[in-house]
Amino acid sequence: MSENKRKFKRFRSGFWSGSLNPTGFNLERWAFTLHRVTGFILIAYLIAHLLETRNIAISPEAWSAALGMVKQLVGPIGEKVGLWIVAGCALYHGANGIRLILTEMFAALIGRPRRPDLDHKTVEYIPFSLTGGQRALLLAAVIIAIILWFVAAAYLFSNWVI
Amino acid sequence: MSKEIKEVLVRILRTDNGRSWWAEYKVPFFEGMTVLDALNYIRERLDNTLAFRSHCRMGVCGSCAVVINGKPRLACNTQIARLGTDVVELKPLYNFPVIRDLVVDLVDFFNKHRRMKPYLIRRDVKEREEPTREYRVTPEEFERYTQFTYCIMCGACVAACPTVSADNLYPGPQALAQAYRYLADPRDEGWEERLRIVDDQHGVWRCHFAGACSYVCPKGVDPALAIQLLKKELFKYKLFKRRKKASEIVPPLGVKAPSKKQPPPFDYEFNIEEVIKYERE
Repeated sequence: MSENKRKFKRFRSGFWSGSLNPTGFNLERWAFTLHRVTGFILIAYLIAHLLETRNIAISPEAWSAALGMVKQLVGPIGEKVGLWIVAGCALYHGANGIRLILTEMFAALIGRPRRPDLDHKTVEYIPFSLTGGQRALLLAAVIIAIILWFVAAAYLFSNWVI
Repeated sequence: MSKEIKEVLVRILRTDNGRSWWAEYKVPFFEGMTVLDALNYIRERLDNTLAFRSHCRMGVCGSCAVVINGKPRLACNTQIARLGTDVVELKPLYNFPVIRDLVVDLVDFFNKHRRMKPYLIRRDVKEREEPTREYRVTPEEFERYTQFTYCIMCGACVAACPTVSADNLYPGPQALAQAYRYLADPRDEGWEERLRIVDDQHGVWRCHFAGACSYVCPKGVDPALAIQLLKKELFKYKLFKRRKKASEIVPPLGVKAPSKKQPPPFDYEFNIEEVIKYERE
């Protein structure tokens, strides 16, 4: 039994090839990976943020000391760039999350069941759920997130540039 | 294909007794050659220790699914000329334990399918076992589930699913698509029973719509669509307690319907004792 278990673990495709690596797959799979990665970054930021701000419960001096330590660690440019990355993660995660709520809870824009033997015009049947309104929604979410990301950049870096 | 292919290099990730290695074979190419043809050539002429599954060689039985150049496909359905390269890289399906070479263990996969109760559930056991007349299915109702009946259980969708590799208890796209197929069937009365099975921490809510299952499906079953529709039905059921109305028994055209009889007491589970008792009678 233990030998079988060891074999099973060894032969399973790893976390990278099975779960995260989207090369060769569709755009939604890329969106899934990006969603997961941005989620991890947001959780890491949230934990660090909580650890930093909890110093205000101890004393104002401890709070300013922690703030100074962080500023010393990443520098004035690194702080803004880090915030910009976190803003990008939050924007993409949020925009893609709205798409997922629409498609998963209300089955919006993913079409209805079709007949793959009668409908298809290409050699391989391309399912409508990956081509129609859902794909447009995904592209819209990504484009909105990128536009808002540049707005965030303008907001964050304007004081620094001028 | 712009470039003329004379010979194909087939690289196979072979596994035996816990040891894995890449084996390379040179196979002469002919027009219309599929990956399964190359595998058969290797086993017949070059190396008879190579293990792989195949049966019907025309995309019906679903036993020859392997990962071809990074994408799970049916070996018999994949033309080498369409791959656009003369190097064919074969791996056993992802997310499955490997028995040997390209043969993977499908026991867990079939058990998950079985857990979804892939058969029609009717309250009237006597009528189900010995039908007197037909159940009504309109053409519109037929269109609602017929796409999902094309599943051949090759396991390509499970190999492509990013959730399966992270969660062992997740039923996988194939099983969930089949759950929806019976849920959408107007003849079925196991509505609440199946929703209770999939409404789980490791159930349908684990799907995050990566869509890779639909992308790789060789039969165009679109499991991602089925899972999203299943989620929608579950959402409606949880919020508004929406129930499906099952179709009635109808006589064939031109035959007058007999008077309605009272159905036996409500029983969802497949009661084997009742069936045996009925058979004895």
